[in-house]
Amino acid sequence: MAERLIFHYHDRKTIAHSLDPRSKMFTLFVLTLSLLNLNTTGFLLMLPYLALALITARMPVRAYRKEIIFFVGFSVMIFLMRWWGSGNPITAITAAGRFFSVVVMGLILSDTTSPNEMSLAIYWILKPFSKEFASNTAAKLNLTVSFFPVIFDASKEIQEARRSRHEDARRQPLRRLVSIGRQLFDLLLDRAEEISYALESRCFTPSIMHGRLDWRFRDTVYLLISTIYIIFVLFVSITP
Amino acid sequence: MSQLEILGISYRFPDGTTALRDVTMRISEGEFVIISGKNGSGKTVLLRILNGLIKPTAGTVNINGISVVENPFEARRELGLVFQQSDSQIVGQTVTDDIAFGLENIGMNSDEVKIRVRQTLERTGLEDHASQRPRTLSGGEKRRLTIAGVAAMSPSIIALDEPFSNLDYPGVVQVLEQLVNLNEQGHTILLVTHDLDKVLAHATRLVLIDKGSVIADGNPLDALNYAGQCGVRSPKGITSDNIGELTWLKD
Ligand SMILES: Nc1ncnc2c1ncn2[C@@H]1O[C@H](COP(=O)(O)OP(=O)(O)OP(=O)(O)O)[C@@H](O)[C@H]1O
Ligand SMILES: [Mg+2]
Repeated sequence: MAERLIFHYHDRKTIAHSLDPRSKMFTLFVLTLSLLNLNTTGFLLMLPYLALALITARMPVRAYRKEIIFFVGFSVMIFLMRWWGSGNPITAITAAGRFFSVVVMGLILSDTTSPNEMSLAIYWILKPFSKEFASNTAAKLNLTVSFFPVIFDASKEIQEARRSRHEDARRQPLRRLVSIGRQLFDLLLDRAEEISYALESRCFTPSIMHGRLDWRFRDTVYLLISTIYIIFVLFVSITP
Repeated sequence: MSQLEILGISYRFPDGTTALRDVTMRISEGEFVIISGKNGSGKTVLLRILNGLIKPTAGTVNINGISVVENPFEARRELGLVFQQSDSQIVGQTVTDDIAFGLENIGMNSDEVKIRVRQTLERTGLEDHASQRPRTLSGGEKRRLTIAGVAAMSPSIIALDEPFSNLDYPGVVQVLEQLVNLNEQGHTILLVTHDLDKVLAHATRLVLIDKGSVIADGNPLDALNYAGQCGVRSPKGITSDNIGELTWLKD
C-alpha cells in the first residue's frame, strides 16, 4: 500500500480524524467562500486558524515536502502574475496565500477523512433529493477514491521493476513513456478486475451504505467556534 | 442429492485458451476436498465459476439446488470464496467493519450484524484484533480475516484459493486450524493447494486437475498415485498408516 499519497486518507489518532466529516466539509466550504472575499487583514487573521488546523490534524508536513514545493511554486507564479498585473505586492501576496490556503484545507480534509466517511457524508447531503441517486453517487465516489492508492502503487511498482532491470530513463524517452503507459494500463485492468470480483463475491450492493456517521458534542463545539471565528474575520475584513 | 453438483463444465477464454474441459464432480455436505494441479491447470477459473463470478461456456453448477449461473447472488450465500490475494478482498477499515461488509450487503439489520460479527470474531480467534486496521495485520491474520469475512455469511461451502501461499510456518498453522474448525462446525471445505504435505491428513477427498481436466478424484491415498502425472509433488512412502502425518497441525 502507498505510504504517503497526498490528498488521501491517512489514519492517525487526532481530534481532526474523530470529527464528523459533515462538520469538516461544512467548515471547509464556508472557509473557502469567505477566503475569496477577505482583504489582507482578514487573510492574516485566518492564518492562525489554518496553522491550528494543521497542528491538530498532526499533518506530516515533511512527508509531503515534494508536493508542497510544487504548490508553493504554483503560489509564487500566482504572486508574480498578480504583482505584474496590479503593481501591488500586498494584494499579490494575499492572492497567492488564498490559493495556498485552499490547497492546505483540502489537504487536511482529505488526509483526515476516510473515503467511506466522505461517501457517507455525500450520501447524507444528497439523500433528501433522491435516495437512489445519493447511494449511487456515494458508492461511485467511494470506489474511485479508494482506487487512487492502487494506481499509485502500480506505477511505483512498474518504475521500480524497470529500474532494477537497468532501464536507462534517458534513452528513447517517448518510447519508454508509451511502454510504461501500456504496462500500467494492463496492470490496472488486472487489479480492477480482481477488486471487482472480490466485491461481487461478497455480494456488494451499491445501494447499501456501510458504517454510519455519528455527530457528537465535539462537532457542535467545533462548528460553533469555527463559524464564530469566520464571521469575526469577515466582519473585520469588511469594516474599513 | 449432493450439496454441490458440478456437471460437465467447460470454460474457454475469448482468446481461445481452454481453461476447463468437461469437469464433473458431486460433493456432499461436510466433505473436506482438496483440489490440486500445477500452475495454469484451471483451479482458479473453476473456483470463480463456482462463485458465479464468471459463467461457464458449457455445463451447469448447482448448490443446494440453486443454479449458480441463473442465480449467482443467491448461490454466493451458499458458497463463499476466499481469494488468493488477501489484500484485494479486504474492504473494511477495521477488522469488525470488514467482517460486517458482506452481512450488510445482504441486507441484514444492524443488530443481527453485530451479533454475527461477534460470533465470527470468537470462532476465528480474531477477537483481539476487532478494532485493528487490516493493513496492520500480519499475513496470517489477514488471511484469517478474509476467511472470517466469508465464514460470517455462513455459507454451507467455503472454497479457498491457495490459502497458504506467502505464509510463514505460524501463519500456515493458524489458517489450517481455522479451516479444520470450520469443517468441524459443518462447513464443506473446498481447498485449492499445491502443498499436500501441509493438509492432506484432514482431507476426505483429493481431486487432481491437469490442463483443465479432472485426472483423479477419490480418497486421498488412491488419488495420490496420479500426483506426479499432474505435476503435483507427492510426499514419498505414504500409506494408509502414515497419511495422518501429512499435516502441519500438531495434536
Ligand atoms: N484472462 C485470460 N485470458 C486467457 N487465458 C487465461 C486468462 N486467465 C487465465 N488464463 C489461462 O487459463 C488457464 C487456467 O488458469 P488458472 O488461473 O485457473 O490456473 P490455476 O490452476 O489457478 O494456476 P495457478 O496455480 O498458477 O494459480 C491458464 O492456462 C491461464 O494461462
Ligand atoms: Mg490460481
